[in-house]
Amino acid sequence: MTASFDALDAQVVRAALDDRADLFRLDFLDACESTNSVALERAGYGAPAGLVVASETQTAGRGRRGRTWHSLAGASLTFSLLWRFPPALPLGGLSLAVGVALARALEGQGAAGIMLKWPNDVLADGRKLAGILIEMVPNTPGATVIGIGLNVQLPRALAARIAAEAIGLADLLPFAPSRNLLLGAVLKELAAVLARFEADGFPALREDWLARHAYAGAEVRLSHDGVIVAQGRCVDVDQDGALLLHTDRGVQRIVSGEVSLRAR
Amino acid sequence: MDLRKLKKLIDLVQESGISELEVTEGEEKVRIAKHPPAPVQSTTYLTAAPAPVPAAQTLPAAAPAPTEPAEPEGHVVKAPMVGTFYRASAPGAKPFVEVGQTVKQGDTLCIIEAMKLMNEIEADASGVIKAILVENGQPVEYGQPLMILG
Repeated sequence: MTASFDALDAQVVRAALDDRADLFRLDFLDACESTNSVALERAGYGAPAGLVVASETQTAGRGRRGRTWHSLAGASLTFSLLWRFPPALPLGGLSLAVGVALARALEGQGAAGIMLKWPNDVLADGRKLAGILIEMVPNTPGATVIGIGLNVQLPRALAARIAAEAIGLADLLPFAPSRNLLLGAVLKELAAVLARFEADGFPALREDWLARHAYAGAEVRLSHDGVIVAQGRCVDVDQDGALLLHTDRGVQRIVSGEVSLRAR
Repeated sequence: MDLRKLKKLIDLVQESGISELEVTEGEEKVRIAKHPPAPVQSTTYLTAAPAPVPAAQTLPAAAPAPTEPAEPEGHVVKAPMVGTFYRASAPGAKPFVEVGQTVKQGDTLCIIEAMKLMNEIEADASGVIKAILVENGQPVEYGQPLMILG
């Protein structure tokens, strides 16, 4: 695989956004600790919805529960989007909705077999292609920072650093994708999905999510910080995005924890 | 010692400049304190002749202190959502707050995560953390008390 490097270029992304360009304000950095931190800070200063902070490298990229999100310049697309929902809007299924947007954008690029692992990891070929971390802006009901990390090309040096099996978008396409066009496509889908979410809630996107449910019907374990707390068959997700797990004790509603396939 | 006498003693303490009065009469001993937060052992008790139960109710100044330590009183911080309670931003990281720490309104107290939505829970009042009621990594329900600020 040749490591072609296309630097992030706001003009190219704006062109790709077409008639949606007005919804976003692009702010590209060479490096930062974490795009989520930068976006959260700017949200605190009153930055408007649609702020996109992207960075070529993150020195302290945040995954869920403080797990480090590894990225190398040019090899991944890492950005955060500030979005302001109405203060009273229930945000329960938001992270699943964002997964739907990401899956649609990737499919639009020609990637096949995109699946979603509850609540919102994007998988291809059973391996992690993208991760999402959403943080609420403190003291500002409805304001959220949606952080997305997407593997574009996975050089061996990076693959070796990632414990969980990962995959890059380039592995799914006959050519290396342009990160600028990819960012434009993801933002366009996000604009559509977030508008739908705001208008009709997660129920309007639930079928889209279920159609890509990676563990539908699978026997899974649910763990909290490495401790298994439940196991059962996962079949469905609730109207608010909670995972419905069929266990010995009946159907359990799961809102947090790590889901993994049970070894047979 | 009859109730009328007790009442008189209490009135005496209340009207006077003294903060504490101890009277021994035969086998009975009564101690009346104006400022009650004294440890259990030193609060008023009656020996030998048990006082009638209503006495404790009608004479609050002489009422025995509760034998069990009460839950710290103060401002209760409640969970605004269902999810998993975390005391630190990352496993192994320093917790946002510890018991005894002074916090200002707006300081981050903990995180509640649900479906990868990370909610930093901030102090809605200033004060000292008197108690942390939930273990790290435990699920919390809506409205569940998380911490007590004093």
